[in-house]
Amino acid sequence: MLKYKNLNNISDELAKEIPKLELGQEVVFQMLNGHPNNDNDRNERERQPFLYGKTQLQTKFRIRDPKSGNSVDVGVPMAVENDTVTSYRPFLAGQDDGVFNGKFSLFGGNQIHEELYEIFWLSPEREGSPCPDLRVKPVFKIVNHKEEATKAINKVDILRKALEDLKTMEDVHYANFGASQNWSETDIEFLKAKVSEFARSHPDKFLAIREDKATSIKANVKKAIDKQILTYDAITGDVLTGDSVVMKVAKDHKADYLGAIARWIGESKNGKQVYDGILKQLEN
Amino acid sequence: MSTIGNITKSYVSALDPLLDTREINRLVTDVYNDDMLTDILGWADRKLPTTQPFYSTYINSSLFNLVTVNSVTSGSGTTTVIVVLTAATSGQIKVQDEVKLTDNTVGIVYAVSTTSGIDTVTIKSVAGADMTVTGSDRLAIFSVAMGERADAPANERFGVTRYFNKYQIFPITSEITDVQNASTVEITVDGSNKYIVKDHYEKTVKLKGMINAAFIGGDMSVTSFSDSSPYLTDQNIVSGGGGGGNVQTTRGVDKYIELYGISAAAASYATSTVSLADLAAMLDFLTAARAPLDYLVAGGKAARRAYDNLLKNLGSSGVTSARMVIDGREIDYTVDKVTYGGYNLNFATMPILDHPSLFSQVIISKSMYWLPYNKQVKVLGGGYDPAIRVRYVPNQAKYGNDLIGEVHGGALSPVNPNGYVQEWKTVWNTIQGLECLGVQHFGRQRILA
Repeated sequence: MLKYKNLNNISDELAKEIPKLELGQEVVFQMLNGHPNNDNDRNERERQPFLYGKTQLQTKFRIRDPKSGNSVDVGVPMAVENDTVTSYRPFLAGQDDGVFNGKFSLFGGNQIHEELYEIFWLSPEREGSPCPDLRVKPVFKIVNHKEEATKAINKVDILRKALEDLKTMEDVHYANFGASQNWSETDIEFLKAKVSEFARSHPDKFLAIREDKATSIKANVKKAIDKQILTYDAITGDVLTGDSVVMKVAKDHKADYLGAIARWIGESKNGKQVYDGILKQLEN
Repeated sequence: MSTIGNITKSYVSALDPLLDTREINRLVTDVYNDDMLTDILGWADRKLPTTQPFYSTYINSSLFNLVTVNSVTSGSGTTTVIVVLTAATSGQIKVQDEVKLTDNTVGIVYAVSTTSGIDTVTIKSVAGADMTVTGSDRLAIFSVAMGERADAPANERFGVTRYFNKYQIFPITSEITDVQNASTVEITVDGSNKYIVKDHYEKTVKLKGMINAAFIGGDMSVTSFSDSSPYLTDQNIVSGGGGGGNVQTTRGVDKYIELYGISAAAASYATSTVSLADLAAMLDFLTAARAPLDYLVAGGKAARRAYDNLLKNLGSSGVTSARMVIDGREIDYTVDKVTYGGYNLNFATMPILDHPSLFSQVIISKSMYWLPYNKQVKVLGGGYDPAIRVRYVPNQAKYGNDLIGEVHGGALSPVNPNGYVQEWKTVWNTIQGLECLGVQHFGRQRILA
């Protein structure tokens, strides 16, 4: 790292820790400031789950040198007068991309890239920086290919497990799964298609629902509501058997009222009694 | 009963507390200036009705592109080089394309082979000069050259990218009982000593302020009105069967820029200063985005001051004050005009960014916003379209204007008396969303710490 009168005067110990880019080496950076793609089209969301704007990364900032404890200004110089840096090289992640996919690369052998790499390695904007700043939220990270590969393999493993589990499901399981999610579909073929698609697109959530003991309770509660054994008043949150209110779903839980009722059944004595009654009536 | 003595102030005051008149300035001092919060509404005065709660727009893609060399397989320093392109820039180059290398030599593409989506490209020097190429080099595909009796070159496809936003329902209520509606107060607003007049005035200001703030700082909701399992539902369930419906929110200019525009920061924003290099950097970013040359650069007073410190200290900066003009119409903003690096920059202040209760805690108030001046974007095939505009659902109520509906209720409503409850209730309702086109040319530059 080149040092100037007013810049990059970090301790030798810290300087030694900064990795050097090898000639021809490519280092990939991943932006962390992606915004969930809330497109109404599900295919579009799956194709591009996150949207990334073009973001200028800081190429001049102050750090606390973890080795010396001193505050030091560091940066990538652009103009220098009398050994004093007067301006800094700007860097806009995604500058030349039509649609930025959130990744950019720096290459060894390109001097500007090598200087940028040293500064980005120190930057508090980098996740894992040795010089974090509590006021600065990390906006990028260096991609660890080994870690990414492990993640990709794990993702495939989860998908495989979900699809294997899917193969073991019978009609009653599909019906219970759909009911537990408060899906309105009753046609079993349609339901099978919907559950299968859910298992493919959200394998981790699919497995969690399948393994959740509350799933069967939620399914039975949904069936009880459909058969008017239980009544749920969406406005007041009241859950009734006949005319008597047995519980009230809190305002914050109305979006997942089946989950709220299942929790109440699992956690309260009265809940267990009500649930036993529901099961008996469902059997009849 | 009489008594002997002077008629003093204390004597009269002691007779009865109601005998003294009260001396009160009837006018209420407005210290909050919330009626200034109409910046975006003023700028986005172009309006277009929408028939759907989710509206989209497309942008074209670049016809000319750079490709990035990931690695050099062989031949650097000779007349034929073989390079491997990055995955992100593969799939764009074809045989017979003419390319400009970074050493200013010109090559022609002799072969392209693609494996797992990555192109390996053979390039031959057109002039027989040696070509030097290294990893990270960006090559320009600038032309094409075919031989005699040539077959047609491979076809290039240019896609479009869709951008979208949702509208938002903005309501506000004014409600007063029979007793207070009959009473007068010591203060007057708009010449009236009825409290309801003050309330109506303030509700109008607040509604406009909320819309304006949403158009600046709002974000688009994950939920749409069409969702069957909504994440956001209306929790305002009072009575009469309303409430519980899906909730949509609209994306404001700030989030538009974060997603699709340029999010920049001055090198020394930590010390709230901006330099000529920061200005130059922003212009370079805009140039790379193929932006127009006329810009409105607007921010709060503190951010603007940082630019003033820079520009007004320059010896021959050519800063002149002028009135801002949009579509030939002069509006009430004084701007400082600066010509620099081929760009015409019009610096202005946005009062909403100074508001202490809205965006003062976030990057919005610490930034200058770069918006194409005159708010126009080119459209493919010729012509222009507004860069910022309001999409709205025309008023469906009997009263109000095209944009804002006004509904009256209660037994005492002077417009539409109904029911038996002795009150007057007014609800203003408007359905609006922001639409920004060509946001690639919009920028936000952080100036303040």
